[in-house]
Amino acid sequence: MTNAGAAEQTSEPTWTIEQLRDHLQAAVDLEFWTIPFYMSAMYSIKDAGTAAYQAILSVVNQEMLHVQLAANLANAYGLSPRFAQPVYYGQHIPHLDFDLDHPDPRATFSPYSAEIGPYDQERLNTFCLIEYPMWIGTETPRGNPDVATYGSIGEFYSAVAVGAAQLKDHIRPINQVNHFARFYNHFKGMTITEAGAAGFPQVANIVTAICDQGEGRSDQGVSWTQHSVPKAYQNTADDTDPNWSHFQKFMTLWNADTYPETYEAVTSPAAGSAGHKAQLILEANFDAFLDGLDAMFSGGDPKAFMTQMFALGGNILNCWKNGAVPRFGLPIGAGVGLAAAAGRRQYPPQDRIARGLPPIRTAPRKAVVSA
Amino acid sequence: MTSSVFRIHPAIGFARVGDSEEYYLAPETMAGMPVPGKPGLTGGLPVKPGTEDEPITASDLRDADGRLKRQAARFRVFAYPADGAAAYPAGGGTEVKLGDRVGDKTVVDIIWTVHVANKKGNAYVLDVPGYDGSIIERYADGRTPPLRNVQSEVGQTSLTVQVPNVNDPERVKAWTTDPGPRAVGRDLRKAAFDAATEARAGTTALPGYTKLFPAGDPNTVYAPRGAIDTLGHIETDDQGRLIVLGGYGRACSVNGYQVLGSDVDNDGWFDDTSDGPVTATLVLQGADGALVHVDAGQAWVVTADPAYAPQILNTVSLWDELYDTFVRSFDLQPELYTRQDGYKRDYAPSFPDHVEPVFKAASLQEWTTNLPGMARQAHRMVGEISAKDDPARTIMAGLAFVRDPNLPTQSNLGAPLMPLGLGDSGKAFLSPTYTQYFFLEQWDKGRFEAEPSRPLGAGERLDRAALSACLGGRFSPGIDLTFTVRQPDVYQMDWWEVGPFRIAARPLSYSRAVPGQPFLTGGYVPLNSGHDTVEPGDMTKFMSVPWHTDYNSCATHPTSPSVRNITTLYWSWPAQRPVHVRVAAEVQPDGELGPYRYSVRGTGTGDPDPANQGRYQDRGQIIPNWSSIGVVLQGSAIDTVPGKAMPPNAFLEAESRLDGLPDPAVEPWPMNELEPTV
Repeated sequence: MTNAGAAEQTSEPTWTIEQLRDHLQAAVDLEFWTIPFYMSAMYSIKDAGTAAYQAILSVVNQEMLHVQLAANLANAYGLSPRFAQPVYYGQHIPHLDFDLDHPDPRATFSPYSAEIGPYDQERLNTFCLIEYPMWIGTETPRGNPDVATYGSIGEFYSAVAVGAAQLKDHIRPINQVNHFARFYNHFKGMTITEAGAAGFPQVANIVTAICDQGEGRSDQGVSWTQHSVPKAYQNTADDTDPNWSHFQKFMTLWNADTYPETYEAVTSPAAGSAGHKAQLILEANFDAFLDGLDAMFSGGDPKAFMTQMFALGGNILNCWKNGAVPRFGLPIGAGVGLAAAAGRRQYPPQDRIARGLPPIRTAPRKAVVSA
Repeated sequence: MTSSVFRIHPAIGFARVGDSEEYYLAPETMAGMPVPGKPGLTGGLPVKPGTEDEPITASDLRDADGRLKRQAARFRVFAYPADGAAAYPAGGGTEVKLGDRVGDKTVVDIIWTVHVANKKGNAYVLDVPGYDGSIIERYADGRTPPLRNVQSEVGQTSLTVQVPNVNDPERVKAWTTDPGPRAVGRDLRKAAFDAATEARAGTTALPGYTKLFPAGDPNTVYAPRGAIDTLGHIETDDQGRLIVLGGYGRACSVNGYQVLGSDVDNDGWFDDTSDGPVTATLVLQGADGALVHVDAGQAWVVTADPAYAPQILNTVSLWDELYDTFVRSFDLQPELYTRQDGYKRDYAPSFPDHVEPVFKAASLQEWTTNLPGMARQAHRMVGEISAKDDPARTIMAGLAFVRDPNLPTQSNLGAPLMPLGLGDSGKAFLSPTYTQYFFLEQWDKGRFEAEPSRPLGAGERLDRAALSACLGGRFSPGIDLTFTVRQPDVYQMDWWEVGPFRIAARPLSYSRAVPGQPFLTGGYVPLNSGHDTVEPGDMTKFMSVPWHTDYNSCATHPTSPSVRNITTLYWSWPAQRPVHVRVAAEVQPDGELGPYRYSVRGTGTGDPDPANQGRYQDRGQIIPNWSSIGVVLQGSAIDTVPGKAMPPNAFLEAESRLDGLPDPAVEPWPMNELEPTV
């Protein structure tokens, strides 16, 4: 709920543009991390007509928007974000450390798992943890450019907002992507079109939208059930609960505590099996998809991108149908050297995970910084 | 006498209205699919009259006065080995033409008899206020919806009745257009379905037949484009084939102009669409000169709306509907499905016959709908899937985006499930048929044939081409035929004898016709009247009256039943009723396409609410304007835009006569209806 570290701060630290870009890259990483995680759980559900499937679908759709918005922010501050292979390991959620949140939401949302898996109690608890709101109270968290993890996404973006405000003169309207405007009739400003200080209201608007749609940032003492996504940020095309935040959608499922039938699957199907083949196809397409994302958010127009993106859904579903848990990269045991040898981007380095360090750096990453 | 059996193909043929005396022939290739032997040509183009298979171009759409030509249905007789036509597909089959040898005899005549009628005025309403369920359910348990025209008057005779009897002869006479049967052959090459032409069945003249043209007198009806004094005509070509022409697209109301208050049920109104049986008798002459008459079977002809996008294949076509019905109700292919065991999971569908059409149809939707850019790209990738591709590596992997008809909840789920179109009556969204979905499932598992092991015969291909050019899936009510095509009782059950997809006609004993009395009755009622009760007019009577208002209204709608909190609009029948088109005349010199426009546009079509756009706001305005709407054709077939080279594989609107172009251009989906103001 509150960031214990932030409460100890007495003045607003000064951000460098490199620190802000690191945070914006991390924002893209975090938003992107959720998509395979949520999608995998969604496609594990056999009946698309269930409430759980539809709620997750609506959140996945919006997370795609958030990736676009976060990438637009990054590009506005001169960083073309890179898309590394996300890692789904143990209970590790990139850039979120619930030790920093008081009270610790894990007391409510346990057990939980950050590993790819079917829609179940562990996954749903993780969904809720990811989207857990930041209550805005008397102690407004202050952005600390040296901090790489936060107690909630809300705190993370609050920090980003501090740095973004300090460095608004760096804003440039470059490499802006806009695929979702038709799905949000009232959402004005999904892209940054103004340079310098004039662009900052657009930056702030995007940060607010991500938080309002996602965790449903709420004033202190206001229940999440009373939070409503402002009309300006509501989906107008295909969301039956457009005024609900991600957290509210997940909490509704959590309170219902019912779990629809899912596919049975194993993490490591036998080599040569249909499930193994499905995993390999998913991995290959996902790898190509990452390249497409890199290209799209650095001003390119990757021709096969849409095909790759739409095929991912089928690739994930095929894993489940063939008894395999979807896999998006090398097994967690594979080292960075093996990843490099395979030409894949491995994120984060194993040693950082093993030490419990925040995985803000990916390796190897070739982020493009524009002047 | 002969070791052959004879069948007429297509089993159901489709003529289409036009306001010209001239015509072209119905397509004989399958819409949306490659045409064997003609690289670059997409099937579904109509055929130039007098030719075997020469496709029309845009300059063939209208006559010298700019009138829209009618589409004629061409029927042929095929011979099959007597012991070789009991399975489906039968394959093979040889067309029988004048002068051909059949066994030891020569075909000296083919006598065709056709009897069409229009019974829409004496049918049941489609739209019951407050009811958004399935239409067919209203016929269950001996019930029927209310009848049309229970309060209206014709001429001086009040037909106001408390409990209308659909078979009341006075009611039948008042609301049925029935010219009676006509016959043509070697000696009488042409016969009109009008009041002046003598009724005739085969070689028998029927001078006492009671012809009914209740909207045929221009002095007593409101007839803005002429009274309905004919339902078209039939003729034969030099080879003895039958050509059936329908009406002129006229709509009339009795007792002066009556407001068109409904999209589908307008009391007092008539149109000149029709349907009815087609029969043929072969006249064979032996070496001794003796003549033998051989029954060549029965088909059915329907006259429907014009084809405004003949090459754009519906994702669920009328073919898919009939095929699905025959597979699941008549054990058409026991190796695929039996009523006892259901679908056979070891069956391998044919990629080009069973799977590819779905993919091609999906890819073609961009030419009659304004999909967002990313969806358009995805749809194109679907259309490029070939039999060589590993399904798991395609964009259709896992069928993640295909609505499963076996899961009822999915009929209320929109994107990303496809098709992204409005559903059948009682369903928010469209689903493939059960058989289509089964084929896709088998393909997804890698169980399919790259080529069909049992290809269709030439006549069977005509059956399929005719039905593939028509709308399926969303029968609310539809364009060509409607929900009754899913009822097994409209078909001849012994398909292995007569051929599949044959309508179960009521035997028409014209010798029993009584002068002054209507020959036809109220006719077929689904779930009520049983087998072999389908009369002329019974297949189209469940459609909109007049058809124009339904066509006009069915651009985009919110779903029905509605989906909570969703105001998004979806297309009704975009492949059959284009909504958004790209105009050939707006192609840039470099080949760049212009913006999307509404197909129905110009004066009288504007409205601030997207839910009402792309149609005439006053339903009455479609009556004089329907024939001015343009037709979407493959670029290579558009020869009416001087000085511009058309992209050969784009499908563009040509020959629109509607005034002006709207500004601004149509925005891509998703579009929303305006939120209700409180």
